[in-house]
Amino acid sequence: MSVVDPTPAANRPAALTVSHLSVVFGRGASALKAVDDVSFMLRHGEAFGLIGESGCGKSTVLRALAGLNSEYGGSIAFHDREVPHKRDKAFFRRVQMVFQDPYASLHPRKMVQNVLAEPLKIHGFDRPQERIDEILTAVGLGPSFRYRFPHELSGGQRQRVAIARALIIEPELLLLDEPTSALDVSVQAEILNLLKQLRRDRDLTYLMVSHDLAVVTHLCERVAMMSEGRILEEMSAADVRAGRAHEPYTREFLEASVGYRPIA
Amino acid sequence: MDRPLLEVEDLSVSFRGAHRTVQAVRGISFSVGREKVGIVGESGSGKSLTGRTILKLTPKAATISARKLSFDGIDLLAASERQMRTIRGNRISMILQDPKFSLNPLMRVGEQITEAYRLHHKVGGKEAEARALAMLEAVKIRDPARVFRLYPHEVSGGMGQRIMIAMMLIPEPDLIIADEPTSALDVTIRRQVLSILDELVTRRGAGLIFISHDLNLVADFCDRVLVMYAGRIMEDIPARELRNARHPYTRALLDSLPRLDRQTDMLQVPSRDPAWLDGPTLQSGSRA
Repeated sequence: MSVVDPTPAANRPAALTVSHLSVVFGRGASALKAVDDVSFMLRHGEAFGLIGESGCGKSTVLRALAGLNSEYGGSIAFHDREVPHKRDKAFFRRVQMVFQDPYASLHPRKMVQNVLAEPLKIHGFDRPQERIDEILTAVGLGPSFRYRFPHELSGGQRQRVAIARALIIEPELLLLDEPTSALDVSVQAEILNLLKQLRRDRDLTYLMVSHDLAVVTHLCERVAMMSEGRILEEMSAADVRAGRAHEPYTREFLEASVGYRPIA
Repeated sequence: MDRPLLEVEDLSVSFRGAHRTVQAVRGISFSVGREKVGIVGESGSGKSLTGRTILKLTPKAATISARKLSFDGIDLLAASERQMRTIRGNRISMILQDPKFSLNPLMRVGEQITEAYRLHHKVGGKEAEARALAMLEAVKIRDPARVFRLYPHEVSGGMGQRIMIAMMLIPEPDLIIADEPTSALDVTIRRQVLSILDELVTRRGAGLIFISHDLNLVADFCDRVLVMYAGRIMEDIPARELRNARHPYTRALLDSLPRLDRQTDMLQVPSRDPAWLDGPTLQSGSRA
């Protein structure tokens, strides 16, 4: 696999360090520990996946990282500097998120060009018109899509706009929350290819959350299996493919993910 | 093999609009015996509509036409609404995608299952209750007496889907249409639910139409697979041969999937051939 930077991944600097992250919902007797002492590290240029079933806390981790939930314990460091619980603009300039449902994440009454102009304005970028054309071309849509409304786009095209919105301010870390689970398989293939290409072209770092093992291992080199708010184990994509898991739960998950075998 | 349970010939479903008529299902033919038949396709391919048409549960705006649409010798196309009511649930039943939306939120789980049984069998409350409890046990629910008294919001997704299966199978239908029954479930739960469905369908010798978008799942779970695209059946193929499918559309779908068993750099994005829109159904593999 060709990567822009020839430095071996292991020697690259840490982009994101999460230590002892915990998120609790509710208080007292009804408190629910959704994320329980989660630690992991992402090197610059790496793609890391969090997998698990619904309710395991994977999306909660992502939301805490993105600053959508500032009530968390533990620390999150970006390039070895701890980020404030309430994120500042400088953080969002470098970390952006792509959501699961492209039907819900775009404003229905905003034209594509307005969707893309907003982050540029917030972060004070110059040449907005050129940048919009550039990013639309990079995500495979082309400048003619500027004047479309979301309802004039297919699911795959919407997700491309959502990716363009995240990338237009040239961030280095992209948080991906099940970016293809609402799409058909052929469209999923398009978006996965696009994400792979963009990562190479722009030297991006990905943190992806998904319940689909095949999708995660396709895009990420390393994955962590989550269950009941905890990370059970970390594996390389090759380990997952070969079914090398230590925890019984992970093994069961891997087995259940490859088609259907009746329970004996 | 004896006569198939369901015979469909040249079935079309169209929606008449103010400006144009949309042909959602276009002249498809297939038959289902006492076997597990998968229908796969992308969204908008007409797979769900085909399932609903068999039960005549299509929206009012839909126009159905077919040379033949018969179930166990009954002409469904000519059947009255009254006749259809004796067929639905009793002889053909349907399991939908999300139990959250298909169970009545105001009725206890047990009552719903009992009702399904008593609608089609003249039995007393006590006997129906005993049957319902036995059915809950058959779908591997521990402590059926407790679950019997729960409301749908008190059960998990996987348990909800098992309750749906119990409800749909208790009248002992001959044909079950399952429309994405496990898409809303986690993979480990999916396996349990499918095992139960598989066991019950096989043991009772019923027919199953399994509608799904998941090719890998259908290849493992079903006996035969119909691949739909744009309202047509592209290929009719034994499930165990699906991975060696010959139709370019089926091949393209398979190639577009990220795979666990081998690493690919870039995935194939299917290109579509307009000739498929009116092409014949490819009958692949050895016929039974």
